[in-house]
Amino acid sequence: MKRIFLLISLCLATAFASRGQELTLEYNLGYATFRMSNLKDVLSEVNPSLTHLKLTDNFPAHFTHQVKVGYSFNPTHQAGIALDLMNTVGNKGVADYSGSYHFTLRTKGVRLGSFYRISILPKENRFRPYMQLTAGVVFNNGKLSEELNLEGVLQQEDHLSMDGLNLFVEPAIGCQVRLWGNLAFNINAGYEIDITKKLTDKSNRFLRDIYPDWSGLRIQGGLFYILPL
Amino acid sequence: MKPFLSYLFGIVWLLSSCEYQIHENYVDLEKPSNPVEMGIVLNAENTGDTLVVIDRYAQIFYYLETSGLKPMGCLFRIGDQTIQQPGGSGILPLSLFALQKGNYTLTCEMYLHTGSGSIAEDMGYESYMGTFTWPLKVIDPNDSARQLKHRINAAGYLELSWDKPPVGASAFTHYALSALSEKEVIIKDIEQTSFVHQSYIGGMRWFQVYAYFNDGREPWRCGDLVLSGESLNLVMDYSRQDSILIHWTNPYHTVISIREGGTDELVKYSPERSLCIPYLPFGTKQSLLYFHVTATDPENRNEDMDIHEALVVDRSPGTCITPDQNWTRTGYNPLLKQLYASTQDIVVGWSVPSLEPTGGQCRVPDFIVGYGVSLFSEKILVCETPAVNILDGKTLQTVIRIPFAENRTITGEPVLTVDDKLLSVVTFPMKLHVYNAVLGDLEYAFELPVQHHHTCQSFIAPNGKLVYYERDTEEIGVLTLDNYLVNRELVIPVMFESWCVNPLHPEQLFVYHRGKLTQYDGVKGSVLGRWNVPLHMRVSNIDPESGLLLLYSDDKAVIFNPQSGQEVYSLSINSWPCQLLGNTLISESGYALYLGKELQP
Repeated sequence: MKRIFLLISLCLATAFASRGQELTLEYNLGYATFRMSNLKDVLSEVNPSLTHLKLTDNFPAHFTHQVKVGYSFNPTHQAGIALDLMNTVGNKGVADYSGSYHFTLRTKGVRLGSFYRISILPKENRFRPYMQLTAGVVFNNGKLSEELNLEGVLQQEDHLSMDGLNLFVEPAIGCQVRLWGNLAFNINAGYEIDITKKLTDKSNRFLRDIYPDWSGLRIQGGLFYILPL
Repeated sequence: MKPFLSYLFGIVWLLSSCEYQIHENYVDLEKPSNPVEMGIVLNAENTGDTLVVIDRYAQIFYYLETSGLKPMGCLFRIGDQTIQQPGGSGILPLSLFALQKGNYTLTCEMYLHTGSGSIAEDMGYESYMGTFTWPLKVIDPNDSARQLKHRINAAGYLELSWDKPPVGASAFTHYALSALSEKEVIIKDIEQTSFVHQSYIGGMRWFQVYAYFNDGREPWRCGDLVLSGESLNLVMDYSRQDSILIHWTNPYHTVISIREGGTDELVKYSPERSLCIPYLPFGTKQSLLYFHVTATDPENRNEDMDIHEALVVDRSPGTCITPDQNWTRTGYNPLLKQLYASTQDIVVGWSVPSLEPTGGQCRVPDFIVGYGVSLFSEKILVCETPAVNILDGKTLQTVIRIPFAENRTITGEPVLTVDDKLLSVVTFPMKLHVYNAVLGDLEYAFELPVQHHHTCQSFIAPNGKLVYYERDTEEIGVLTLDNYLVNRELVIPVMFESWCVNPLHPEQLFVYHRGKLTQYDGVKGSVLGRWNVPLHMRVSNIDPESGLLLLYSDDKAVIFNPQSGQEVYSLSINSWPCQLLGNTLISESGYALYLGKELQP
């Protein structure tokens, strides 16, 4: 599924390029927060009778990586596709001299969407603030891992893999700062809203719906390069 | 180069920051190492160090001593059972229906939390463990194997004793001693574990003792005892010469009463333990005497508890070898040392000196009129009126039966010689017949020159060389045979009332006349000796075993040694004629009395 979407997006991008004036390439390193309320509830319900068990990680914010390919068909309008990589993890565990226990729920999301950007000032200006809207799908992958290890006595593991699809929209504002030639620095801030959320548990281990909610703040910064056509 | 390294560093940093690294929660806990003191307290019935479980009453309370640690539980093992108990105290539920009575070991493994808080402890893989054992005994309160102990004390009373119940002393109420047809005896002191029964004198009785409790537990069977009945142990002592001593050994405190024939009371309530009964004269017929012996409790004189025994005593000395007690005929074989007795047509063998049946028995075709003399082989001669049967002395199987020639009756005893010749003297007229004892053919026959045609006594020497016969009332003829043919005849003029010849030395003729016993040389006819003997005696025979001479009168038998000329032994008799064979005196009434000891020089 992911490959089909990627292929279609690449075709569209190259099609636009054949008729547009500029092609843009963009890489952004971001920092994102994730709501993950459902997964946090799931994790909170896991309570083995271990005295010093602790919630060590509760789906915290983490770095993201974004690649964008865009087309400027107007001095102030730009559209294109964006590919994001996100991941976070929730974990309860304890370790001591006798062994260790971990309950880990790791989620990854590959976000693929289309963006539309409207710059406020024309490109001749060094500072170009803009407004941007991104929408698309998030390919979810969740891995559950529960491990108990007692030194020389007992070793038990349980693993579960889940997949799903979310739909999202993300409004954002940003600014491009031309550095030299066709290279610019980009910075933006937005908020992702997951409209639909799904993660399929084929084992029915969780007797409830389980899904990642990637909604949260997105702050990014990166490099922007213009390819004149 | 530097820009490239910068780009490479950047890529590596980007890749390493892709996946979020989870944080570790390591807790530094102290690992428990030193053992802790622990214990377990059991609260159960016990006999010192051993726990006692009596059938269904298995109330074993337990309490774990944990030194402040939290108990995980414990595992009890007994026999094939394993019982897991949670917590630090409780009641051990033993399944007594799966435990047979016997000795066991109760084992407890107790587990305590270490309190370290580690994962292993939380998962139950870390604990303090202690093992404790106790000996345990399962007892069946109604065990039928327990028996009352008993003895007879010095006073002659039955004393019963038993063991105290091992547990339950605090709830004990009483012992109950019961016996069939007796009133129950109650004993309220648990320490009193014996009882003296003062009215038991030895009859069959079943005693039982139970202990009872007031806490609802099952009565404890202290034991039971079945006494099959003590006999009076009547013993007859025949060692005395003139009487029979009857004594009894009833161990209980009793007195004895004896009645003769059911009516005449010989002894009444006597504490004595013996009774002397004089012998009747030897050979007395119907000498059996019936006694009824009763043992009684002297204090209570309860006839229902008396012990009775019957006793039959034969007051004639010796052994009765012919129950018919009439017209007993006997023979003797010195080689086999066996007597042969009969009253009709059956020969029965008896061993000497024990006077016990040899087991051999034979029936001949006709009435037995006497036995012949056989000193040189193991054969015996059994004489009927028309014939003589030669039998094997051991097996009593018939070897040959020889009818007497001319259908005559015999007088005296036929003789079987060492060379298998059978000699007999027949009457009317008196003739000597010589038979081949193997083939049964008559070889020779000689008429004896008697003065009158009457039945006369005769004697044939076992060596076949001399034949004595009464010629008339005052003459005894002696034929000397040479190879079973008459060689010469000697006539000895002698007044006689009775006479006999020594079978071991046939030339010795003994004649009795009016109180005088005279010994003659049968070959020469001369007198060899003369002795005074009691009057009115008759000469019977000379024992082929000892050579002693038997004389008898109506009431007395005298055994005389011709060599010493002395009377050896005498006794009263009530049956005649008698014979002396193998040192055994035999009466016509069928009694045999071995006198080997009395006749020893």
